[in-house]
Amino acid sequence: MLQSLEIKNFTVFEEANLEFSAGLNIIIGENGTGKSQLLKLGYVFLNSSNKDQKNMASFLVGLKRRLAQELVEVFGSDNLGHLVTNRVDVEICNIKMGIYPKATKLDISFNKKSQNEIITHGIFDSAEYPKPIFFPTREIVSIFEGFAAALRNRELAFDKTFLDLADALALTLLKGERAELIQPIVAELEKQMKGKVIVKNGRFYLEQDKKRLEMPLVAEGIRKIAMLTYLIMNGSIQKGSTLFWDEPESNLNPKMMVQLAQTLVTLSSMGIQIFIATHSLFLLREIKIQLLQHPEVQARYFALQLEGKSVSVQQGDSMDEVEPIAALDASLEQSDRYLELV
Amino acid sequence: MSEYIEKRRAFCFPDQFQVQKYDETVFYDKHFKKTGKPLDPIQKRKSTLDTDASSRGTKAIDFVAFDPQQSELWLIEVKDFNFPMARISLTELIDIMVGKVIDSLAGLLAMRANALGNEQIFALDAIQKNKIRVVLHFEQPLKTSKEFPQSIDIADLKDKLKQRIRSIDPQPIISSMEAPRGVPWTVE
Repeated sequence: MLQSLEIKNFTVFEEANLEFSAGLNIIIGENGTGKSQLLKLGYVFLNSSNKDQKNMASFLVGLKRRLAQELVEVFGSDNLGHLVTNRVDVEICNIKMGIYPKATKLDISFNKKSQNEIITHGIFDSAEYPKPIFFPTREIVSIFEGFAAALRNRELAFDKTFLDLADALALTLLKGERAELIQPIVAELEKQMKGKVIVKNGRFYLEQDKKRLEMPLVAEGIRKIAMLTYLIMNGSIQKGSTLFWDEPESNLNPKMMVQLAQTLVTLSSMGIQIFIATHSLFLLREIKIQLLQHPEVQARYFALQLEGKSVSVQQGDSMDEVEPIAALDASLEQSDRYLELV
Repeated sequence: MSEYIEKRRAFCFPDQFQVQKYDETVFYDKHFKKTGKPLDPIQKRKSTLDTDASSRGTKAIDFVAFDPQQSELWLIEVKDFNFPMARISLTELIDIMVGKVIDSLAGLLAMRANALGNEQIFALDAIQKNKIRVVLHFEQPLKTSKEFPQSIDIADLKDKLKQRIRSIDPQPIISSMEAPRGVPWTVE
């Protein structure tokens, strides 16, 4: 789980020190303020530094290579140096990442001329944890069949988060005790979808009243819930996991957003760390309603604002502590415009 | 019940309540209103044309009230957007409200020290309260439409007010005649 990010001169972030919650982390900001970049950065760091190799020496050697490759592939830049803040007086980017519950931080830097060279500073003692999951703004269960193979073998305009997600979806279902443990949340999600997610011959279906509906024929909002459900069913999302979800509200109607907020808070209460980036005031309010009913879930809010060419970040444990909430200001301004005419 | 008129509405407080129309107190009207930075010559010339409250000194909330038996001090501002002349942008409304609350709290402290008679006693008791409750009594334009069943989403206004005033009152109230939100007075 991601504990902190200290960012210096990375893309639009000249300087930002972020402290995350092990529960629900909500990133708010207008377009172009780097919300998705922040999600991707957290994902890349967590994904690359997972101590999934027994040999510590090879882990450290591999870490720099993986990190450089992931940054380029997830951000879709031509090389690593392009991710350094584009300002004449800036040469080096520095990022430090802290993970729960370890005290040491991964401290790295690279410069504008880096193709794939990363320098690490100090000691970093990583941990083993479930692979993080990144949900882009669109789902992939409707295009899953052959998607991963196509991404691996062809030049396609999808960043690496899509391939990682396809790989996670390709895992088979849990069984036995582990499957029983997740049954309540799966049942809740199936109630929302009014059906069950099944996979036959590499294709996803929604089974409703014993009829199989091909995923492309299912509403996009339901497909997103289906993707989430299946990843819980196959153990890709489990206690200790971190889920990054970019604009989860897209393609959802307000009724489904109510259920989405409920799901996000329920998953957080189950020990899953969640990051979302959102534009929706409606979703923010539904989350607030859910959090009031689940005081055990720790939330953290981050408001991003473009100041000149750089982005500043305000953070706090409630929405009241951060400004600006772009969607709130836009809604007030809309009322002003309406009131001028009536 | 004691009744006070503000913006053409009657505010009826329970008998035991101590209420001041703060901007009508002698202390505020004759003394504290003028308190502020000394005007330099340029500002002075500007102030003859400018009606902005900030150039005149401190601002005042409409009501200061409390129940002697309870711990809350109520600071109440009244706005009625049914009168087009009263309309300002909502961000400005919040800015003004926050300024009035801060100025009025400072004014109560000065009133306790320097006012005379009943006003001093009122301020003395008001300052003793250990919970400050901020209330915006807000009446919306009655004309609505399908797209805007309420011209202004009160939740927007409340969230914005909370952002700005949470160190004084983390749960400010936006009430109206239709939705009094549990305030201990009535409005007619």
